[in-house]
Amino acid sequence: MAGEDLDRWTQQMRKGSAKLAILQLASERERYGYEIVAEVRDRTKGALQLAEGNIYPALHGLEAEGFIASQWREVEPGVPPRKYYKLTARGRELHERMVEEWKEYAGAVGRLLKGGS
Amino acid sequence: MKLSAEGQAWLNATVQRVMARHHVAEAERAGLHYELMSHLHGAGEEKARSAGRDEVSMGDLQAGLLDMGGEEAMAQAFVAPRAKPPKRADIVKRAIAYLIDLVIVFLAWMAVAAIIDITLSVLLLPFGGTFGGFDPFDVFGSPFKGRGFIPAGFGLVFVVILGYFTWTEGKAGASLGKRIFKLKVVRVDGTPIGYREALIRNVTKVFPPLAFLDALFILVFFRAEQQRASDRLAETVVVEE
Repeated sequence: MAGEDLDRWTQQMRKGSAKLAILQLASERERYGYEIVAEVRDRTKGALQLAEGNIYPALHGLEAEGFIASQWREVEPGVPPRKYYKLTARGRELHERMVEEWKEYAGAVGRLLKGGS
Repeated sequence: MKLSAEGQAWLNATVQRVMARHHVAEAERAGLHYELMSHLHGAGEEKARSAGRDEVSMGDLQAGLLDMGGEEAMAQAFVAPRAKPPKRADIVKRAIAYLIDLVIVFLAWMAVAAIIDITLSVLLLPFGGTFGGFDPFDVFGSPFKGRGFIPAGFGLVFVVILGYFTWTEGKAGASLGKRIFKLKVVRVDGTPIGYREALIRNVTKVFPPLAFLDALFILVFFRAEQQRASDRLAETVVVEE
């Protein structure tokens, strides 16, 4: 029972951080879909795993809202083209504010867990 | 990183199979296709890189697909969320499309019949044949009437109607009448139909009263699926694009 509850809670937490993860990676440099999945997995040592089916809808959503912009690019002849994503000015602003919020939130939860003194 | 020719062919075929598992709107197909190709290639590239090779092989791509859980899982992840349960076609539109189709076949058949009639008349002239045997209102028998060539000429129009529907729907999923209303025949699972399904579902259309009875099944038995009896038999549905 506890396991199920924990799973659900973890899932919700990860879902919330997926958007931040995408914005973070795209803020560093242009990224393509698979690269984002692989990079998030590697950097967090597997703790954060973007579901393959969620990444593209998330990217499309962010693009439709004007936070990221994309461009199909030919990589090499004979190799499927890749869609590269980068932050727009609006996306940059959102990213910065999300990072601030996250730090504040993480700090607050940390203080909470440490207990009152 | 380069991709082997074998890998390229496999990638293309695999992505097409994955996409065919669900019905995706025409407008979204191209983008999704590119996305799948790119993603699966990315997965294969990672395999090749970690093995220290500089070309992505078919094996790398297959290993990448396996990591994602195989074709079914990939279709579930990528294609299913984008798939829309196709909207069943309106029965009135279907009926009007059918009538339009009958008019088209009727006119085409008249033209063909006239050509056959005139040709035969000319050919038979030296043997005592005559012009003017063509009766435009006797669609069933006119080209061969009274000549004894094909006493069963009557049945030819049935073959023409069935041939028309089987050909147009088997080839592109829609007769000309259906095209006007943007209707399409698909398998129950949303994938395109072939000539076999087209033949089965169109047999009753050669004889309008029979087609009417067949269509009654939509109202009486298969309301939810909006299937005629022969749609049921062919496992097809008509959807709006």
